[in-house]
Amino acid sequence: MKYKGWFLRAAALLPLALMTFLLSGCADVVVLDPKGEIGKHQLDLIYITTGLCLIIIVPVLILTFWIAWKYRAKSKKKEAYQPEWDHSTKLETIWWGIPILIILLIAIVTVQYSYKLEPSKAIASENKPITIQVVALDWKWLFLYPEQGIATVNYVQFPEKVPVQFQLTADAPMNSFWIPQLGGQIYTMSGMAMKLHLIADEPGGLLRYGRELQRRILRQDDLQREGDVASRLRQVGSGRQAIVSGDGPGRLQRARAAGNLAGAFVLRFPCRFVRQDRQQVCRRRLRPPSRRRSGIVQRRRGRSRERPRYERRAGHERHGHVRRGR
Amino acid sequence: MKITKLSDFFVTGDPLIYGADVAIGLTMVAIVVALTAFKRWGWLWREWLTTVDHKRIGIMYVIASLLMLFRGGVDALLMRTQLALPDSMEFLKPDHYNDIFTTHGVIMILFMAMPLMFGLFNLTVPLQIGARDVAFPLLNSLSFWLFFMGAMLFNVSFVIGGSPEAGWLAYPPLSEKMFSPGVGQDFYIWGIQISGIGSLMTGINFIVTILKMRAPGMKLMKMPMFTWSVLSSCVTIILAFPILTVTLALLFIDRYFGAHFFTLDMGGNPMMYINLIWMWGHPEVYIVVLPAFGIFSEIVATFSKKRLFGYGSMVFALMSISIFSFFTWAHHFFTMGSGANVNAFFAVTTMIIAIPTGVKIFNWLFTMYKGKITFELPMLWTMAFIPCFIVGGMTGVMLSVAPADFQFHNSYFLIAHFHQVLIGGVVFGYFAGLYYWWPKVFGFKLNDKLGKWAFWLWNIGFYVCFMPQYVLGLMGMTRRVSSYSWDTGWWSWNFVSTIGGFLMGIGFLFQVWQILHSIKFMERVKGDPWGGRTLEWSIPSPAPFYNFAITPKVEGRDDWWRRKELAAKGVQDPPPKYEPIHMPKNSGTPIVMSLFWFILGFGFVFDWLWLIVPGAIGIAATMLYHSFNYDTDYYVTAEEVRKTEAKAGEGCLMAHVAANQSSHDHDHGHDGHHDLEALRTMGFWIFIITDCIIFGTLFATYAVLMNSTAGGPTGADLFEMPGVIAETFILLTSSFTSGLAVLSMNRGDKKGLIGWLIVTALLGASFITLEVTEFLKMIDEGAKISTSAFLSAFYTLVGTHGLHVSIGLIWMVALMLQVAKRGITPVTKRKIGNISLYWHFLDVVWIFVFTIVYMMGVR
Repeated sequence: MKYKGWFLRAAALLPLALMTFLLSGCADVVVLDPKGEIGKHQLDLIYITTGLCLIIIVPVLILTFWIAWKYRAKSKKKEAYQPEWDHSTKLETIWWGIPILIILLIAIVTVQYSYKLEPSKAIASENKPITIQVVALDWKWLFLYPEQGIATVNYVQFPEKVPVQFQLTADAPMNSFWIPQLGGQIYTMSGMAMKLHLIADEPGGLLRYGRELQRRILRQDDLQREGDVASRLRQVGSGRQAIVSGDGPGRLQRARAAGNLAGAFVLRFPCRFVRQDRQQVCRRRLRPPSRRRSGIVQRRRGRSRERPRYERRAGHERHGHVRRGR
Repeated sequence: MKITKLSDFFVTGDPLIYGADVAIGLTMVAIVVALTAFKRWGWLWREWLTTVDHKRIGIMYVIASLLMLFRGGVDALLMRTQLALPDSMEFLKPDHYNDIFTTHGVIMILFMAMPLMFGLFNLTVPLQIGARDVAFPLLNSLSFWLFFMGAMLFNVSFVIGGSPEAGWLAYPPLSEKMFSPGVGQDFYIWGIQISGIGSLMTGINFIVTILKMRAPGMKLMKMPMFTWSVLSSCVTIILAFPILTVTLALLFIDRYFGAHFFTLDMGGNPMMYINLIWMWGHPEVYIVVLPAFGIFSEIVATFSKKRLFGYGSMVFALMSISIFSFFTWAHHFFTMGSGANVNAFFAVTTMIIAIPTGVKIFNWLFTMYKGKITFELPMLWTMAFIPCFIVGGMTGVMLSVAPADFQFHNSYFLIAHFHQVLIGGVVFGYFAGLYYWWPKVFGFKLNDKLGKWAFWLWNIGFYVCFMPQYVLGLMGMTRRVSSYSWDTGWWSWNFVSTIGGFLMGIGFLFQVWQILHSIKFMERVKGDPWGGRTLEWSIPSPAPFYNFAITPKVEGRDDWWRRKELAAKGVQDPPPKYEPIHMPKNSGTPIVMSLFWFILGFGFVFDWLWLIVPGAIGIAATMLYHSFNYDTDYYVTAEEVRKTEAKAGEGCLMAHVAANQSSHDHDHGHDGHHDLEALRTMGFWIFIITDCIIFGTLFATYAVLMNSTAGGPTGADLFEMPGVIAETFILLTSSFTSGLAVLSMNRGDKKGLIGWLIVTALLGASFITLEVTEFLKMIDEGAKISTSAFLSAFYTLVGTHGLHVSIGLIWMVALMLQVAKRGITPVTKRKIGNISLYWHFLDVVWIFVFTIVYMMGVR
């Protein structure tokens, strides 16, 4: 009876393993195949920590099955049975010590890389960096190129081997900006100006996304409003065609303008649609982060309304966007 | 929300929901018909709904949590079905998908894992420590009913009003009124809030039970490991849950009163919510997993027939995990741009937790080493847990490496990780515990063969489901997407994963079958079917309602094992001499009060004043009723104990022993009460600790928002110090007079006591009057709670203090009446002591309010 269980498990794992093998052929595991410096460092770090973990985990897994097998009650061989043996300072010191050592190593590596790969740290390069401002809107990404004076929606393009400074914020619920091939993600939040530095080592017609951290995925009524978004979505999927925006020649033109930049590292987003009304608003709201020490950009100042008594007093700070000094 | 037509109230439009409507309706009708047909209403009320017996409450917890497991599981399978086919298929509409991932998360953690855990606490802990019940049986019942009503309120959103859809932690600003105008978020807030209060009280209850009610001789370091794990979990609960209570309350205040804690405008700070919710959320994960560690420790020792290895290490590991769990919360948002210093700090604290966890694994392995291992169902689940948790722990360490986490964050890699530790650790652990203690609770074993089918289906299903998700994460698939396109290459992995999900679903069906089968072909067992080591196995299974006929004297760890060995050597226990047993009476107060909580919550969800007011009054009334009720306990005669024990000894283990209290109601006076009063005082002190955390959290939010005036008035504009100084003086004086009341009480001076209490109450009332006047004046000047984040924080902090004082006043009047009627007895003495402690505590809080809010405000 007992063996049957183990056998079953092995039998079930076999097709699973086979399937894994077959499937991995057609997969593109983007995180493990980075195209930029930051992503490559992050991959190194992933390998280092995985390796360090495996040093302890593989022996423990083997030990688990070995002990369970050797000391099973039904074993033919009579193994030592010591029901009262419950403490050994020497052994316990060893297995407090080993995890402490491994974690210590991982911690050292982590701290070093934390400073090295801090997203707000500029990337050293001979080429002059380019700045792209990113705004997460309702259902879409807006990219502003302040130096070029252009904007795109759900489409971003920048030259290879040139450091890119993304300045990110949101004009809607939180979102998260991620280009897995180039390196890790960062949140976009309303009222915050975030910075993310990435660089592409080679040209590529790559990927999509920012992930919608907490945003509802396409509502039905939105779909209707936007007409044939669904069919365009399919288009993106099958033809790897960049959908630049949804709704008008004007924006398409602007996007093409962005396409005139030298080099080509194109991000395509499985685009949704664009709401005309929001865009102007956002451009106005994206303020340079230096306005505040903490980087928090205060949106919407106090509305005009009847001013009560405190208005008359002198010497107090009226504007919310500057913190009172301590 | 304004309800204008019926379809605003009932969720409409989706065939799945209509199906659920019909199913819910039919089930309810079936239950009512069955109860009426079999004349079981009275039985249900007397034996279950009003019970204060920890074993029955435990059973109700388990049943409720299995129902919730079913619903959460269906949610999961719906999502997996949607993800099995990309792009073209719209099995779930995107909105519906949002509902479902939200409810899946909330239900699985808060309404499945938590109650299953509390169920196991209740079924086991008092038996393991040789106690007759928990410290506060009535509170225990209240905890259960609050959980139950909270869970129901949350689940109602499925058919009435609409589900929440902002994710299981409801990050603002998405969960704010601006982006989630429906009632779903309000159901979320109130469902969790009500059940969370229950969880908090369970935490207090079990800490006192474990610290104060252990059998004589059971030193702390002789406690069974499960009891230790419950203690560490409960300590974490009382420190973490108040933070959740405050966080949800603030979100509610934002939504209901238009305040600006987490809004985008007027100085609100959504990031503060994310910090606060994870300050609870991370410890919460350890709250549910620590008891699983305890369960494994019991099972490994029992089925290896060997003492648990490294007991001291295990205790130290448990306690250090529960402490460190409070210093890791920021690892949930390394990508929020906190900077390298913060990220590095939280990365290191996170990985430190891997150390004690790893040590526990070694200790379990070396408990098996040189043992005689039998692979019964509980042990099988334990064996499945170890490798699963090791791998889950490893991916956890990988995620804790902050710069690498940038690539894992919110991807399916993360999803796979937390499912692996939560299913592999918590679910496997609780299943193991259920299989292990099932014979203890019900007196029969569960069918082995069906159990093995379920075991293998669950295990194979688990790996088939979640291993592909690691790969999907590395391929860039992010969580909470309901659709993806074919060219992503994600389809095949998703498809495999869905197969695994369904395998686990079939495993669950096998478990249901197993339970039904085992009930039908009942395989009765004696008290100790597994060769147990701890006290719960020393009494008949199921345990008699009073648990231990004779309180055991403990001399060592694994005391039952030791006694069995002595018995094998021929040492006989002396014949038992039975004595009357002091027992708590059943009570309908908890369920009635919880019903009023439900009404209150439902009223707030729809903003219906005609429900809010009766709900609030009902809660207050039941509480007062309980305060005035002194008829709470009775004695079981020695004769009845002897009869019951004899019956159990004959093997009639399923003998239905109900606490038929009316016929055995001996009022022995309150002679046995001095111990109980000490328990209750201790419980109250722990309650004060939780209240400290509530105020601490409020002070923290105030500190964050105190300068976010958004162009509105500052403290310097608003605060008028003379009035505040008068308030302070009055409140401090009242603290002094409440002290004088206690001194009179200790002298036995009833008149003096009542007199000083009246003075205290009058001072308190004038404090409240002054404060309300001050608030009204400020509001009149245009400084409302919705004016700025600073004012939101101000009104909430000071208002919470004011609310405490007001409740204290009502309580004080109630106590005065009790003292006037009953004089100074141990019970009234304890109550007066508690309110005086409470009053001093409010004074201390006020001193902080005065200095931090007012004095620093006008500066």
